[in-house]
Amino acid sequence: MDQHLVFLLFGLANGAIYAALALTLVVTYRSSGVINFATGGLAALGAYTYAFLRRGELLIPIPGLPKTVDLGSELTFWGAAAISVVITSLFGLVLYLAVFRPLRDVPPVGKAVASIGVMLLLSGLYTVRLGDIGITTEPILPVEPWKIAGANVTSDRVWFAIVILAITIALAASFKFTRFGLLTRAAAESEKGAYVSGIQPDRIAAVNWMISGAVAAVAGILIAPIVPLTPNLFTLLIVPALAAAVIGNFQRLLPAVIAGLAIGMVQSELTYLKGQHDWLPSSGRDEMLVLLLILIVLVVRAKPLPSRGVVVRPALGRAPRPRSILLPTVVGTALGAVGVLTLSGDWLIALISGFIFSVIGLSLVIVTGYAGQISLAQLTLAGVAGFAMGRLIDGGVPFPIAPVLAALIAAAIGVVVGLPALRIRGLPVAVVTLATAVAIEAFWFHNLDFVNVSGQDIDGPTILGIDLSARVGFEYPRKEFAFLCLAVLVIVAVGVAKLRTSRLGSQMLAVRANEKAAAGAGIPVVRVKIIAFAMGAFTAGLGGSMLSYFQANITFITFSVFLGLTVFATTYLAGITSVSGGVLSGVVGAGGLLAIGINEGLGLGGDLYPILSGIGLVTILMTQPEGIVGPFHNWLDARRRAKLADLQAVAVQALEGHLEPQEPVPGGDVVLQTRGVAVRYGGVVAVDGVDLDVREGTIVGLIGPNGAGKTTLLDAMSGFTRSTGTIELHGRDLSSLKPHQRVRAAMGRTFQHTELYEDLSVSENIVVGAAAAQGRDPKTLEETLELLGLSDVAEVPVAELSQGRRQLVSIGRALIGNPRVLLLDEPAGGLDSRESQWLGQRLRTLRDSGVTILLIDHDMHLVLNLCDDIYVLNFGKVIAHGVPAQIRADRTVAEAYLGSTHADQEVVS
Amino acid sequence: MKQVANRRGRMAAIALVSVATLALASCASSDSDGGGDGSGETKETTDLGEKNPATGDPVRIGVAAEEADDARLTGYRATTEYINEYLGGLNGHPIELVECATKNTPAGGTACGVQFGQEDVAAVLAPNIGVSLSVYKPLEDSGIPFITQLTADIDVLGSDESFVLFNPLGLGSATIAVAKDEGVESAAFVMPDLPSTTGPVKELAEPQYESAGLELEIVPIPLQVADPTAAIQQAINDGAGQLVFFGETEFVTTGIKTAKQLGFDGPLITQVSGFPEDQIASIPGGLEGVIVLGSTTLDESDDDRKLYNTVIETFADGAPTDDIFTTAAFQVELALYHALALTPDAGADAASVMDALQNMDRPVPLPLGGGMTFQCGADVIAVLPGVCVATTLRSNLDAEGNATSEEVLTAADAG
Repeated sequence: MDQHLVFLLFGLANGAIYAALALTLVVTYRSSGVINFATGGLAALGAYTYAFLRRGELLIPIPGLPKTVDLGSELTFWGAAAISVVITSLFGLVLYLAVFRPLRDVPPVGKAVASIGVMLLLSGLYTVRLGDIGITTEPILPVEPWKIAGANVTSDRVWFAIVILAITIALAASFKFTRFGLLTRAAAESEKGAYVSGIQPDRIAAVNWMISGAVAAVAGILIAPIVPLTPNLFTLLIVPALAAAVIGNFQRLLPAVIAGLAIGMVQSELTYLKGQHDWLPSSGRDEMLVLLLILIVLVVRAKPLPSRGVVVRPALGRAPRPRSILLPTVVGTALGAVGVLTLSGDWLIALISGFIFSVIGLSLVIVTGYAGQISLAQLTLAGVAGFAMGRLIDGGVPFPIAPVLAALIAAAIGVVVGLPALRIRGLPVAVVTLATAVAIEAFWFHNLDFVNVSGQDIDGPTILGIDLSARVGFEYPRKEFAFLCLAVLVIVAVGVAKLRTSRLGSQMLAVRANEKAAAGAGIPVVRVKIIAFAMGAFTAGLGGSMLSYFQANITFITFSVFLGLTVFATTYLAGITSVSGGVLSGVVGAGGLLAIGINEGLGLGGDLYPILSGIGLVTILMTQPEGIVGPFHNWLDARRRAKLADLQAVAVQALEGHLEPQEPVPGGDVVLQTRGVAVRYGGVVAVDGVDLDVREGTIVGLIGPNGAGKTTLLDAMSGFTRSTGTIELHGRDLSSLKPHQRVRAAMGRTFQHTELYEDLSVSENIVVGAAAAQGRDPKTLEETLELLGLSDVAEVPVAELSQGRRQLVSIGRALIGNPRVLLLDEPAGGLDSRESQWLGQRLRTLRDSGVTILLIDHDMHLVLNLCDDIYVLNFGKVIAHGVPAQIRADRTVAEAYLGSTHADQEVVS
Repeated sequence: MKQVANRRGRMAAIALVSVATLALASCASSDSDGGGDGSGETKETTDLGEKNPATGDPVRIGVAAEEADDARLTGYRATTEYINEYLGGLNGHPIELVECATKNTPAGGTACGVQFGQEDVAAVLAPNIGVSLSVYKPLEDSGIPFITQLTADIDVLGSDESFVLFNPLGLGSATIAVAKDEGVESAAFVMPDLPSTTGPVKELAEPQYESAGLELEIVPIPLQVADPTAAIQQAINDGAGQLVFFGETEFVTTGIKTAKQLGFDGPLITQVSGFPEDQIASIPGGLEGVIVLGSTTLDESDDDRKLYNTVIETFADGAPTDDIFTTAAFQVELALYHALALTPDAGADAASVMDALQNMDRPVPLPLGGGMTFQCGADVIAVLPGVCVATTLRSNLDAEGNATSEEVLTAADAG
């Protein structure tokens, strides 16, 4: 028992380091919505500045200026610490002003990528300015050996933990009890609300970034005496710190800090247990613990990260549909071939490197660009294939088979990597994939049980007697190999382009845009995500195999997690949502043509690429959400629009119609029936026992004041919310079916916010819904377009349509699955009265063609004229039911609407 | 090419390797003014003697660095000037350096190997290169001698066309010698959890310890664990009598500090030879009692050290003398000179240099070796034809990191 205590105490040192960094991460996220990968870099700045001040020198990190300035005398602890904290907090302010304020309405993933850019920048800066030598400082906290259970536990680690806890409690208290803290929380919840309340979110954010900087500096200063500072020290520590921050949900300071301490302590305890139990693995133990913790917390909690109440740009840029594949392929291949033929030496090496990393970039286009899953593990998956290939080649597997087989193995691992993404969404997926990458690297690539000491030698490739290897004797790099890489890149690029234009691609984009809506359209979201991860990993695996052939020897260094972060950032920079972006990523990435151009062309010495690419990344993010290829896409779009000018005129035309009053239709048998449906959220009753019958061939209206529970009822019927009571479709009980299964059971549905896939054309948007028609004949695309009057704008991207037509596209998506019942949530939302009428006409046509409709809407005129039967909801209960004439005359309905509004309408209609 | 028939033997004889060059990234870089041995005093110099300029046809020697103008090149350039102006060149031939920077990437390393081959150099010097295997591959079987120091690559160690001026078995035999000397029966090796560091210990040291009847525990430290206290305490609990730290300077400093804080009083051994002053200051009791096992003397009064200081001062314009890359460059290039001196006809091209190296008829003192010698082509280690050194230098340090005494350990000392 004593020994356990001793080892837990030992773990406090590492734990306090993780906790300190986690504290900084959480403070930054709470106030700015940024998961700051550059936290380590900030802590390093504080630590380095402090260390130099203690030697009597002021560190100047700005290139071009002298590295240090002699201050004449060494500073004391308090002096040095105070100045370092101030300098780092000022740097935090600079970061805010220069980087994160301009990126304020960029979505969280963009901000995280910006922080990766800053991380690269700082890391490159320190390496260039400070070299590799570790810098230590004198102990700050008392270092006394405490004898516990016969072992010497130095007191400094306990003090470190206590100090971090104290700082955390102080910070937490000040956020909770001071006005400033309140303002911070307010601005975080709702930026608009803050403005309206007279708060200046800008100023609050600035101060919070300064606080972040200060906390980072304190963390760095306290860490400095424990372990010598090197430029990349903190990047390695970020993953356990992220895990701790995740456990605090990036919101709660104390849980995050305690989690950090706990991680350090448990890792230490595991080391002790390893001594007792041989079966624990000797490599990868600590990293897998971190991963396990993240997984358990995230998957069990399954809550999204709190997001800022800001209107953000769409999560990722457009993913334009390639108009033709042939021309770009020919042009691209020709360019590549010219490059191969004309370049040699270092430049050809850079070109080949670029081809290979473009393949890996394309894997990111599939997983992140199309399917919207942020994966930071792609390079590691490439490594899986690389190492697998080493074994396969050892076992005699010949050329084209070995890399493909290796890529398949990578695909299998990729599926495993992607499993957590089934349960969580958004930026936490990034954290999980990062932790997974680190764990794989530690457990496999570092593990002597699986890899060789000097790496794995790779020969070849040769095919049909032709030697395609990168080097033969002193011939290097060989054009044959370069052409092979070009060929692989072309095949992969064409494949990804084809994916984009395929139904699977549309489904991926649908999942990316809105998972709920995708499920509502009958898309099997889980399957699509898994396929995306598998295809992404396979592609990365191909890249990894080519990289192995190129280097002729595989070690973990080639596939390091740090490099993987860089690959993600440069692909985002180039344009992660399109094939052209993926291809460009190799050119602008580390070791590519741009890098060599900078380092050799500018002739400034040293490795400037990380610094310049960090700056470039941040700049691009500010101006082009789609990356470097953004302007190119805009140009293509403009050209296309010019061609579609005529169609354009039609597309944006407002629609006018007139809905003739008609006798309500009695309808046939009951198609959809609810009995006693209730929905409770905690103590709140949103729907309180609703009985409802929808008869075949009718349009049923569901109306009521705001908050009456209409959408919730629809959610319950379509399976997006848990409910009690029964819901039957044609006598079939739906309660055990998931949403996409209900859709397939012939219940179609649209949503209040139309959630169309902006990049896709009208046809593509509609076709996505065809998956719902399992077991039934789907309507054809032509039929659906006809019914809704959309035939003339079939190929126009929905982004360019008028609101009325957009609503119809949304309906079309639900309609193509040939549903028996169509649930429409505010189909007339955003339409003026004439367009409303026109919509009503179309809905009537639909009904007459045999589709049963249940709709919610606020347009009373439309509802009273269109519907054959109306239910009125208030406070979750049905307060009235009948044909329009009855509802018009019903007092209780008028009262429910607070009289005036409805009374007006009553007079008019 | 003589191949070692017994692959198992070769596998069992893989040498120490550090985490690429980083493991040797001890001592101040050219930016710092720190003393690598902590003394900070002015270095002793000596008289270079009479000038003896080389007058024959130049001979090209390839030297590998990681960056353009790095500390290795400083060493090579200074040593080359010294050899050309004062020692008459390589058997009369002035040395012309062919420099190449690997950028520490495999592609860069391959490019350097290829460049050396294309330029038809007479020999390649590539110690302390992280991607040295990539540099070596193009030169394998090319007839160009490949000279290096720390390496774990079987291909290099097993080839009789490469020349390793370091004892790869030292990790086992020298630490065993220390153990026997100090009366210790088990050792724990503490290193970063990377194949390049755990591998050599497992493959090499373990079997030797087994034969010697001593226990060995491998303690790998994951990269994201900054403080190794738990692992080291566990090793002590398991009964380690001595601790061997193997890795970058910072890693070793932290390890030694931790061991002392835990109150461990057995031998602390490492391969790192240069510690920056502030790192020494952070260790309670400094480096007192630490044992360095390597192939470079840390005794400032050694004649070779004085020569080295003078060469650097004279030809390298005030570059720091305690950078181990500069030191290694000097050591290796001068060793080549002395080796070729045994065969006055050699030196004009790769073939003659190869021949001379493969047939050294007697051991030659290793420059800066503190008494160690080297002899290539003599199978000083039976299973590893590429190795030229079978001894290890033991330096005992004082608190400031100066060597108080040194001794050359041979295989016999390991019993």
